[in-house]
This record gives sequence, C-alpha cells and structure tokens, in this order.
Amino acid sequence: MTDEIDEYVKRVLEHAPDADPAKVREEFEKYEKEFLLPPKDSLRSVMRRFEVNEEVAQGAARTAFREGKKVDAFSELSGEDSNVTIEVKVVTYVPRVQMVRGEEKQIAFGWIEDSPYPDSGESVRWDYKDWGDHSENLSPGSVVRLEGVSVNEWQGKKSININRSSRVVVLEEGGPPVSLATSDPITIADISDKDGFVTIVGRVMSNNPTTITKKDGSGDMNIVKGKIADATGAVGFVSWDAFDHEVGTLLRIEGAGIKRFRDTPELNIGDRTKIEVFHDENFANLSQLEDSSKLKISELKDGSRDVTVIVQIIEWNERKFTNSDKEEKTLWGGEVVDPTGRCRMTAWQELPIDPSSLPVFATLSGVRVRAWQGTPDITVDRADQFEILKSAPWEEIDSSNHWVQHELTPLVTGGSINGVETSGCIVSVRSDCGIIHRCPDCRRVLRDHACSVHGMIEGNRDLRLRMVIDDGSNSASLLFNRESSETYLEKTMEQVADEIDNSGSETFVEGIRSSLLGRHVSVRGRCMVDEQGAMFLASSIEVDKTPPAERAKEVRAKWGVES
Amino acid sequence: MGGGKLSRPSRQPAIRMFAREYFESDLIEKGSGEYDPTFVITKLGAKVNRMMVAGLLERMERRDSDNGANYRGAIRDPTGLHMFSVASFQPELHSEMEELLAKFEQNEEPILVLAIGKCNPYQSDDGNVFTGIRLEQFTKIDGEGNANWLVETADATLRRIDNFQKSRDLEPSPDAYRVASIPADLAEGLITGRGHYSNVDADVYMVAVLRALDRAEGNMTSYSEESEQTSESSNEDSSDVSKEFICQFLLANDRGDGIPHDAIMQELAGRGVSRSDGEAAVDQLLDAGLIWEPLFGYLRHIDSK
Repeated sequence: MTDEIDEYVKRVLEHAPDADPAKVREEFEKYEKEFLLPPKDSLRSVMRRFEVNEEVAQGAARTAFREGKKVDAFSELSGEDSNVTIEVKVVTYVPRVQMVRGEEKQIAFGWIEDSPYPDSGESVRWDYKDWGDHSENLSPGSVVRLEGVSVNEWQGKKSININRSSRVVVLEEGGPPVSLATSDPITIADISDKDGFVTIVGRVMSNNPTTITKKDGSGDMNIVKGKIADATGAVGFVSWDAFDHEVGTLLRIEGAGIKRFRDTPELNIGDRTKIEVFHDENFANLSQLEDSSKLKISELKDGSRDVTVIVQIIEWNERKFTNSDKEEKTLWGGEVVDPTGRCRMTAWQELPIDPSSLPVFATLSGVRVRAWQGTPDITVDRADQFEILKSAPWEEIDSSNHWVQHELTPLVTGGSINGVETSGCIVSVRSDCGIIHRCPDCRRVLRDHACSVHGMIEGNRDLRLRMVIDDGSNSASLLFNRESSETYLEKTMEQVADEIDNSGSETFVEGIRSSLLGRHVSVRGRCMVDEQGAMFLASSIEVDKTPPAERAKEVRAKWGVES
Repeated sequence: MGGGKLSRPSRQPAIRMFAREYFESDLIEKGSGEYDPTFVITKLGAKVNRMMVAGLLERMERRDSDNGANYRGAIRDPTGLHMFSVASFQPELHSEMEELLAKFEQNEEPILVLAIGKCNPYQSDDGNVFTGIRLEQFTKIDGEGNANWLVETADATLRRIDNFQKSRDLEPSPDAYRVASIPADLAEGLITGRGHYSNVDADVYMVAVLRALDRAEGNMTSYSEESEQTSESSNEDSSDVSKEFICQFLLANDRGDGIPHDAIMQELAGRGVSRSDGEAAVDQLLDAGLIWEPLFGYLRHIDSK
C-alpha cells in the first residue's frame, strides 16, 4: 500500500512541483482511511487540493489508467483494475449524506451482482459505492452496464467504486427510483412509491412490543411493531431498538428505512434513525387520525396490517381442514362489500355471525390483509377485533349487482380490487383466443401437448379469450375464463370447439376482432395489479351502443366546443 | 405508479390519432436503453408509440422482396392520410393482408378499416422525417364504427389541445406542469415538444376535430366531396401553382420509373408548400387523371414518356 501511494504522490508532484510530498501523502491516506477511497480514485481530487488546474487533473487521471477493461464477472477483476466495464444487477441502493471536507456529499452504497441475466450462471455479489450521484440509474432490481468504474480493495475485500466520471447505462428498468437521503419530511402517502430512507412527521397510533425468534436459532430479540399516521395516511413501523413513545405522541423520525412486505411499505427504525418528539399545535389529533386511517375496501393492500375497515358481510361459512401437524382446525370465511368494492374475509376464531341472517355490518379493527390472486382477504385473528354495528353505515348494498365504477387509469395504477366496472377501448384481440388445453396437475396451458413442468400429458380442454383494454393513457390485459367467454359469445365451449374445427381459429379470432376491436366497452370483474402490469378478469363485457352522434354531443359539451 | 415495482416496461397505450397531427410531427425520441420504445412526439405533445387510427383504405399494395412479401397502404381520415406498412417479418398478418388487398383491388365498395399499430418513423439523410405506422391488428369496420372512432379521437385530440394551451405559459419543468395538473401522460411530450416545435397553431387541429365531430353527428360528406372541400379550404391560387409545379416537375425529371412521392413533397417543401397542401394537390391531380401512380409511392404524369 505504502509503495502505491508513493507512486501517486510522484504523479501529483509532477503537476504541482511546489507541493509538500508529506502533505500530499497525508491527503491520500486521509481518503483511504476516512472514505475507503484508493489513491487511484482520489488522484483527481488530491490534485485539485494542490491546485493543479482542473484540465490537467482530469487529463492526468484519465491517461494514468487509459486502458479500459471489459469483463463479464467480478472474478476477472483484481484490486488494481480501473476503468472497468461490466454488466450487473443492482440489489440495493442506500443513499447517505456524508461530510467530505466539510461539505455535505450525497453518496450511496449497496450490493450489485454480476451475471445479471437468468441464464448467465451463478451471480456473485459485491459491495459498491456510488460517489457520482447516479441514483436515477441505479434503482434496485435494474440491470445496468457500469462503464469506467474501478475496483477498490480494502483488507482483502474487493468492491466497486462508481465515480463521478463513470457512466451507468440502464439495460433493464428496476423499481422506483431511490429517494435521496434528506432531512426534509415527506408525507406518509408519499412513502408508497419511494424506496430508501425518509424523514416523516407523524403521530404514534399503536405500539406493540413483541419478541421474535431469530432464524439462525441464536436467540430471541425484542422489537416494537406499531403504526404511525399523518393526515395523508398511516404506515406500519418496526423498531429494532427501544421505542418507548406512547400512543398519541407526535414524532419526527429521520432516516427510517422503507421496507416492503408484499405491496405494503413499512418503516424500519434502526440505530441510524433519529427520533425526536415534535411539537405542532395544528397537527391532527389522535381521534381525527383514527378516522382517517379507516380504510375502504378499494384501499386495502396486500400485506397491510393494523387496518380498520367497516364491511357488510354478505356470505359466511365454516370450513374444517387438517393442518400439517395432523390437527383438525376450523376456519370461518366469506365475502364482504362496502361502497368501494368487494373482497374476502377470513377469521381464525369464531365470530358472532349468523349465516342465516345476513347481511351483517361490522367494524374490523387491527386486522391484517393478505391477497390471493389479486383479491384482498381480510384476516381476523381474534374475535375481539370484530364488532357488530347496530345501524347500517350505508344503504344495504345489493351484492348480486354491486359493481363499483372506476376509471381505467387509477385502476391500473392502484392496488388489486374485486367487484369493479371500468371502460375503455379494445385495442387488441390476441390470436390465442379460443380453445386451449390445460395440464390436469397444475392448470398450465399445454404447448404442443406438453406442460412445461409435467411434460407430455393429456390436457383438459378449456376456453378463454385474451384482449387488451386501453383508455388512451393506460392499458390492462383483459381475460375471459370459460364461463365469461361462453356468456359473451353466447355459445358453449363445445360449439366454439366445433366452429374452430370447421373454419379455423383465425376466422374465430377475426370474428371477435370485427365486433370488438376499437369499440368502446365496459367490463365488470376484478382487477389484479402486480409487477407484470394490470390484468382484468372479466365476468362480463358490454359494447357501448350509444349512437356516435350522441357521444359527439357529449364530447362537445365536455370540452366546450358546441356547434 | 402506485407502490408496485415495475420489472418490465408496461404496454404502451394506443393513442387515438388523426392523420394530420401525426404526419406534421418530425420529432423522434429513442430511449437510451437497449429495449426502449421509439416515440414520435407531436406538436400537441402526444408521445406516440402505439396508436389507433381508422378511415377509408385509400391505397394498398404488396411488394415482394428477398425477405418475403411486405404490404403498404394508406388510410384516409377527415384530416389526411395515415401511411401504414406490414413488414415481411409479420407473417401472422399476411393472410389477412392478402384478403384485404384482394378486396381493395376488386374495388367494388369502399373499405373502412380500424387499425392499431406502432409508430415507424424514418428520418432521411437530409433530416426530413416521414411518419408511418407498422400495423399490429386491424379490422374492417362499418360507418358507425368509423364514427365511433372519430368521436373517440376527437375527444383525445381536444384533451391534447386543452393541455397544450394550458401549458403554453408554464415554465417547462415537470413540477410546474404537475402543479398546473397537466396529466402525467402528456406532460413529458409537451415539455420535449416545446423545445423542438415553434409557432404551433393548435387551431388547425381544432378544425380537424370539429370536422370529425360533424361527421360523427351525421353530416356525412362523402370522401370524394372531402377532397374538393380541401381544395376549397386551401388557397385556390397557391394550390393551382402547386399543381402546375408538380406537373412540370414530373415531366422534367421522370426517366420512365416515375418520381417518388416523397421527392415531390420535398421539392414542394423547398417552395414553402406544406406537406398537407402538397398531398391535397397530388390527390387532386390523381383525381383529375393528370398524374397516375404506376407503382405505389411513385407518380408519373400522363404525358411522360
């Protein structure tokens, strides 16, 4: 190491002959110790410190390591390499504000993996540091090509330095861009599309100390789980440190990490998080926040917990099953609705619901939400989370015909939801509409009589239609299962199979295209939103039959261009 | 986007687009990523990758190349022509194209089509941009289907005009646009477009919208009347000058194979004649039988040798 620094000191002195070698050396050592920056990465900065002019410094830094190196795997790199080009997957990106020579600098660290594509073999994970504020291009989950990065070796461990001069080329988009570590508070509603570290101001809504058992069997750990709210919403938190703030306390929490469980963000409070009691007379009080943290069915997200929701129970059954320990267990479940939608509800303890006198209106508090195939399922763990309402909070909903209207754009950018109606134009009728065969074991669609998991197999015949619905700004896949296909086509599966046998599937698909492509339709069903985009499972479809002249008048009125 | 991580880019929406707005665009945006979609940004700020168009099938032909057949054609809506193509690498569309071509060549009845396709812009060496559409799916429609598309597209165009007007005096930054509640799907294109287009006159698109709405309301002027209307609306004198020029140009330069349509448009552009006026002039000459199209996209004067 010492010899190496000597080399660099010489280089600096070539350009700044008046500098004191000892001071130059000190500077390099400071970079190495304090910022874990090897001399080849700090050369330019050190030169600037000794007032070598910028152009010379840049040129020297560049020419010193002109030979670039393009590699596929970390294993090809040695601690000496710089100006390296490699494609990697970004695993994490953790921004930090660091004081560098009395100046606040935005840096970040995290993990990257080489061999980023699924078929390119075992991936190796390395640490990296981002000195160049490339946060926009380094979202976790993205695949990027790093150009002009260098290898840092510190106590035998190698890592990557992404420098200000490095280039980051995004090859595959990852998640949402990481929010920068800032001490300006954001609203709780804004957390849902952020990653990284945030600062918020909110009131403690619940505070439940629990003990968890470490996975590696090394013992138990005390943590605190709870919920914190502001006027825009509520978010769960986990504190890995002591957290002794009472319910109702207003706190400013700085530098809490956002973790996601399923679709639900959660704040992680650790030893780097700063918590202080905050004073604001005008901040919403506990009971106001409790009201605003009551969710509607359309707002439920997979993975939420400590949720309060009012529902109308329209169906309730008991179910017995045997668990993996061969114990017989009883479970209760059914369907619930509210004015915004419909979903499932499951209880692990018996609730005072009489299946013969439905509907029942109830408040559920402190319950969890899980989702199955995009439909939220409210899980009630204890009977005391359930309270029957004496008077109905809304006019009784006719559950057989309860479809909540949603515009397509908010629908596909929101969470999964059941019992909805939306409208748009059909912009694609896919060629694979019609008869398919499914694997009897896993329901996968067979290709060439083979299941991708179970091999050659005699399939079960099924009927489905696949389309795309689009409002000009956003789109969703639109799927019809056998039942809804038969209803729309007014034909049984057998009739469809005969038709395709006789005149071919192209003619069948063309027929659907000529009645639906480009047409404005409304569809009812449920909408699932995941990382693949939005998928609408239609139970029915109706073509808008409004005469064009009438629609034209509506459009004129809407935009004020009357004739 | 709400919460969920996007592991792959979501499907591009099908933008309802009149021909005029699309062919007057000459701003192409290609993303930096390897699989980023290409966009054409229109003067009204629509960022178009996929679009939905409809109208009368006006030209259609097959070309055979070493890679197999490909198809080209043009769809006329009340504002102009949408040029479309089906490439040799889209064999799934070829049998339908053959069927459509046969119907078109029979020439018995007008064929109205509705098509979904992706932008396929081409920039020539001298910087001119030709906007085309590569078809994905299409279907034949009836007058009502066409009227529905006109309304749908008028609505979408009015929304763009409205937001274009609102954005004019804003500082061109995403924040300012958000504060002024310009929808997210338009803000980006509007900001990029502002840096490229100057003196955009949204009124010409308003005229297009009003004409489309008139049609949808049943004031169905036929398509041949339409081209006469165009000639009335454009300045008679200049259109006669353009026609005269086209004839002279064809007679002077044709060496037997005809002159490419685009070359004529370029010559006209050099004389300050807009593409839409130029196309109108060519259409009128075609209708009058003074020029003809021996090969798709190539024009000859009837007196050329």
